[in-house]
Amino acid sequence: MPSVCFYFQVHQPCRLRHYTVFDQDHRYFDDLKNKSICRKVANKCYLPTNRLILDLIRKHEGRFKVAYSVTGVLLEQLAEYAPEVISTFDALARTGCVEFLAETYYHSLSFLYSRNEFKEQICKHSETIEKFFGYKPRVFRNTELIYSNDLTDVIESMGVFDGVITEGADRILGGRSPNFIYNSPRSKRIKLLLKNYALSDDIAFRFSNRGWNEWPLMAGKFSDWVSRVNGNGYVVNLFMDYETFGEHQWKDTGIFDFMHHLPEEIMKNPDNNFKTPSEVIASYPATDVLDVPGLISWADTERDLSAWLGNSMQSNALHELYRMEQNVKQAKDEKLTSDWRKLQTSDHFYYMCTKYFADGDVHKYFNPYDSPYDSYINFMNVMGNLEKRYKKKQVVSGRQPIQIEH
Amino acid sequence: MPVLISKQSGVSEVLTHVLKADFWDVNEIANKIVAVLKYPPLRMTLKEHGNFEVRKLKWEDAAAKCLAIYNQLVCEPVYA
Repeated sequence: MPSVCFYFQVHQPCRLRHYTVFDQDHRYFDDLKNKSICRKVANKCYLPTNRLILDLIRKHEGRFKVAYSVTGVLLEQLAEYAPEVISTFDALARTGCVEFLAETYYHSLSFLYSRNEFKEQICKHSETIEKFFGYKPRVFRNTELIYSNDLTDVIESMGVFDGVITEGADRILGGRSPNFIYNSPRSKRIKLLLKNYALSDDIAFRFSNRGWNEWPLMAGKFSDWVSRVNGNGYVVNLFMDYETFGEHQWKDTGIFDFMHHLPEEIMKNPDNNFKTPSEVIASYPATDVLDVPGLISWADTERDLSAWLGNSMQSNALHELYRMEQNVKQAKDEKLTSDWRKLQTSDHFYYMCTKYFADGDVHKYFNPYDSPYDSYINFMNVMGNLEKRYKKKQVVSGRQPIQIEH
Repeated sequence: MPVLISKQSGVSEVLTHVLKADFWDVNEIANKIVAVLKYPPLRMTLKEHGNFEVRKLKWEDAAAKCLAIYNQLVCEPVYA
């Protein structure tokens, strides 16, 4: 002890093209931009980092382990624009040292609005992961690690998961450590793994910050911090976006060299090891109950939902989107349903955030819009066209649209 | 009230909670005007944030900054 548990989030949305109130066609997504960004991130991050992780697994003969959660919307884009990345993930899967997690296929906020849609997306995602990598996920992470007690109830009811990953937010821990395993109040079977945000963010956010008093962060120094958990925790959960490697932290910051040396530095201490989330769940007992009646996430310093639901534009867009669910599904049009689901990706609402509009670096990276207002206008124009499509189908079929009472 | 300005205007450098468009792009200007009329949450958010932002912009603050620069220049040593 402690066991270091790495989980990397791998996701890119299908960004919308510029869509005005005068546009009538059904091409909502900016294929050129999405392809360009996908290839750029593949070359700067996914390919070099996958190769590095593969080398480290081979070098350490199976003692180095990691986990990934790869969204369905990204897998679709990789299949079309950068299939070699999928080959490297497949190679990682075949090492036996890599776990793939489950999440909603479309990286959506469906848990907040439609439990049926939520479960359908999870099933679709798990089937896709099994098809691509021969791996049936056993641990779940919700979009942006959004979590409450209710989430564990839903996940447990699906009968296929052993654990849930979420944020180790201070206000739910109440002074306790994220380095232990927890249960939710109503489920003794599902184990909760909490992100150690201090150590995770040292790599993901502070690594290249020259104003940070711990800069430069060397692998040996970080390994010492991990070793200090010894005797006061079972696990150090390092959860972060995969784009940390090569995008958020560019290559010239030394992030790849850091990661190259980190496993050997950590394993210099014989008490330390690496485990996947499922191995952590199998190895350690839950030590306490974690009561999370409200909603938390891993986003921003607030660790709440304000990044996606902080203003009336965001709540209106989300409400209108999920109001369409029954009508869209009733139309039984695969393309219409797929388009509606791609609109659920949480990034669309993240772009509408006015919280840090003036100076939010993390909100701006990969953001295709000049302002949150442009994002909302674009999104609502697309939704307007989507609505016309299913209403047209209903007129043709003679069905009445389902009216949702407010 | 929600505001729509040209991206090429000087004031576009200091205002964030406004709608902006290239002055020649009449389609985009029309798109944004229609959006404000169609989507009440857009109107509300622009009004709320715009109101807050404009209250922070005062000529007294701009004048104070100019004065600070003049004072700094006056106090700097002059080399022959």
